[in-house]
Amino acid sequence: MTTRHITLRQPRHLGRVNWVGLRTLYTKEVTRFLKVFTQTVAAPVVTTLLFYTIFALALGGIVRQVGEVPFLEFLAPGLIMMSVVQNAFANTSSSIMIAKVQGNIVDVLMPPLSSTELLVGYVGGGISRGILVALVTFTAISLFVPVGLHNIGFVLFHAIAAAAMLSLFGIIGGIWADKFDQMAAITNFVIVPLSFLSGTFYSIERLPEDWQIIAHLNPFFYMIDGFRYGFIGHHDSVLWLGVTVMLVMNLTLGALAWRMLARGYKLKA
Amino acid sequence: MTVLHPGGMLAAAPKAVRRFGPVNWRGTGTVFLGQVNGFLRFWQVSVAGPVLSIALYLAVFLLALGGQRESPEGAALLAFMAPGLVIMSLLQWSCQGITFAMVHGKMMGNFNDVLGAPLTPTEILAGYVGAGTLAGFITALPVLAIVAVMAEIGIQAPHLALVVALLSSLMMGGFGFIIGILFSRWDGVTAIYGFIVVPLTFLSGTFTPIDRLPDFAQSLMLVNPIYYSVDAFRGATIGLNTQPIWLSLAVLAGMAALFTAIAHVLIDRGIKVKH
Repeated sequence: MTTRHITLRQPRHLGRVNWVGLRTLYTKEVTRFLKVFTQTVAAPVVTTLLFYTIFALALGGIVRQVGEVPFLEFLAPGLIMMSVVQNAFANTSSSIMIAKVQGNIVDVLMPPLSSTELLVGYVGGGISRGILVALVTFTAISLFVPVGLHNIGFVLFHAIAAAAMLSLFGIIGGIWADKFDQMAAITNFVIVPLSFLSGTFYSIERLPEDWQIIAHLNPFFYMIDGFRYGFIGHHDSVLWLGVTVMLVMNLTLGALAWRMLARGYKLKA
Repeated sequence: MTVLHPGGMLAAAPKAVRRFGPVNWRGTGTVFLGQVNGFLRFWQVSVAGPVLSIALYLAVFLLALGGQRESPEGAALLAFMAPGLVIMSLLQWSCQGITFAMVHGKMMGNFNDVLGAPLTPTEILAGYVGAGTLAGFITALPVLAIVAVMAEIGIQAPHLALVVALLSSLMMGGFGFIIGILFSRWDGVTAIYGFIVVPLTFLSGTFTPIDRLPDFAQSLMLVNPIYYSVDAFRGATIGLNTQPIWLSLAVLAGMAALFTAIAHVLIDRGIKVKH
């Protein structure tokens, strides 16, 4: 009679970082939005192009230039940035929200992933969607309007920093909100107004003085200003200030989101 | 009234069957009120959101115009856009409200409650489209108020404006019903809205006079029914229509009839909803 030997699998040893887990979470986040790319990539691109067309049609005849820059060239980077912002936010917030509602958030909370790893995985997914939408929109716009490049460093820094910041916002919002209409309210009443009134469509030098001060309090203003500087070499604010604001915002929101995950706020009973 | 049976079970005394004439008014009204309730319950999304976004569009246009705002050209542009923005929000919500309620009902399974009730296809359609029309008006009225203040426009022909708004709402309501019947998943619905409804709404001559467009864009615009809605509404408010009013009204009435007829056939046959 033969004896059957069963070899037990040894538990996988993790080093400091659970790379396999992190990669799995990131892949899941990216696959999630790519699976419905008509909703998550194509539709936002179409919307951005529509905005571009409308502003070109409506204002092209009257507002020809913003400072030294033709209006259409001024507008393009801002609109691209708006799509980065909205999509990065939408990705993390909807991912967490849907997982909470459907109950499969436990599949993310149970595995041996630290709060930092969770944070990095989600933010990575949000950044990927933001950048992907930006690339497609940029390609589409550059077919119609020649978009120059002034300083690639600023373009990359602000694109990634903005996407990261909004991904963090999305994580915080997604954890906090209990229902979809609360999420929609955050999008409608916070994210969209901040991105619309950020100087995408106008140079804030044109605003009355009081409004200029308010505009400078909007973090979205700095990301769009710095990003646009990278393309057209025109900026409204001090450049290093923009970089600082982005870094500080990312660190603050990152710390808050990390703490929410670590304490299991609204996630772990 | 309830009676206690010997077994101790509470049972309803048999109720007489409610009779109704050719139209089940109470049923139709229930469908209608159910939809309106659903719409108003999410007022942050369905009313406040659209109103805010239109105010943002206008604010952004005002700011982008900058110093040009005071110029006759700038003021004319704002007055020109204003009626289109009202119609855009009207159309969007008389359409979306219906589709979302139906698809949601289908996914949750409670659309069966509507199908199972003693309602004719016409009554179901009337309930939904009526609610959609009301939803569109609830959203569009505050927008009209904002726009009237910010762009300083009035309504020259209120009756005509009402007729145009009503026909446009019916047209989009019928369309929204068709989409709601045909699609059972969100990605299909968002594709239709993202790639057809939103582009048609935005490229409807709201933002620029048609004669400033290149030729091919002009002919594209002429086959977009929403263009007639915007144009006629602009005629009714600021008296600036490009197409004759009777033509616009005919197009809108025709499209409303067409969409409603298709919607009626679909719900009558139970396509995709009765198995």
